[in-house]
Amino acid sequence: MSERIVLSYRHGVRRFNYRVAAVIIAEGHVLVCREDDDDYVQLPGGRVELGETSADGIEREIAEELAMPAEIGPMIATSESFYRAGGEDYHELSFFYRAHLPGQGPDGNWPWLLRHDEGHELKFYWVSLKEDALEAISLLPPWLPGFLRQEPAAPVHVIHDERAGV
Amino acid sequence: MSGRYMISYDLPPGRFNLRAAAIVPREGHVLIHRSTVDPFWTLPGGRVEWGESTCATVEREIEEELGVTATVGGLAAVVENFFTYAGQRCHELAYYFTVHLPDEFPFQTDGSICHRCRDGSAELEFKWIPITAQALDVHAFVPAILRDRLPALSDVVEHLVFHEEVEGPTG
Repeated sequence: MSERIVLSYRHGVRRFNYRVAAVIIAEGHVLVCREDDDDYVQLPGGRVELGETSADGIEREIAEELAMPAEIGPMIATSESFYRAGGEDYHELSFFYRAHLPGQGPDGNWPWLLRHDEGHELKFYWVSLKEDALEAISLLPPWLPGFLRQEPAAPVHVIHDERAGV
Repeated sequence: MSGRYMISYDLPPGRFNLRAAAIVPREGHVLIHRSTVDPFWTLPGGRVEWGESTCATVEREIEEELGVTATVGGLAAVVENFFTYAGQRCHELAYYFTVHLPDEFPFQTDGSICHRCRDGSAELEFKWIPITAQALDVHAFVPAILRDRLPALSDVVEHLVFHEEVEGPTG
């Protein structure tokens, strides 16, 4: 499978997405990313490609987005999310991996890092795990702040459904 | 939102599939099934429909194929499976749940077929076998990566990756 095919498909307004994300924590802060003018932030990561393991996917995404050495740790959560965004209904699978950026952490800069990837401006911030700092910056998906503050010892399976009547 | 469709995408370089299946343990045995034309056995389950959680897929498939209402427990394993089937590269995500069936579902440990049903043009048959690597080997159980793991699965989510370069069934 030499051709790169991103695992994201649309049928009318129905989209299926398969993502990987990195949980990078240093000195009580988690690294988040704002793309362009989004009014929310996400964990660093992106879409998995056909034929690629989720672990290879997160390694590739970190290399593309952050362009610095990273150590990828264990998978700590897998989620299924159902939500509406940008006029599309999403059915999204995600794998979350613990990761570490050797020698990197909060240094007082805000944003910490500014990058450009695939035509998008990416701004990275280290946000405190304390109180409601992650909610204040609108980290999505919405179950993440609570999960990150009390990260379980074993991988968890999360189903997040924002559809009406569920 | 008209029409159901399965999450299975055929693209020039390969196919992406999303599946969910049930691990039904009972008195040291596990429920397996196959299409009568296949030489291999798998866990009962099927493809996930767009908009459906993997737990809901397992509930639906059990209802359709076994005619009983399942109690779906926690996720036991998630497997990233890469294989070639009928000349096509396949990238499959499979979610395995611990499931309990009501007592009315027949339980026989003599290796006989305990249930049959039709699924489209296929005839499916079900039976209980001991949860041992040996019994799973004898039944050419797939995915093979679960033969050693199934007897040891706990309530902790196990994440497995399997690369198979030879031809193999999708189950």
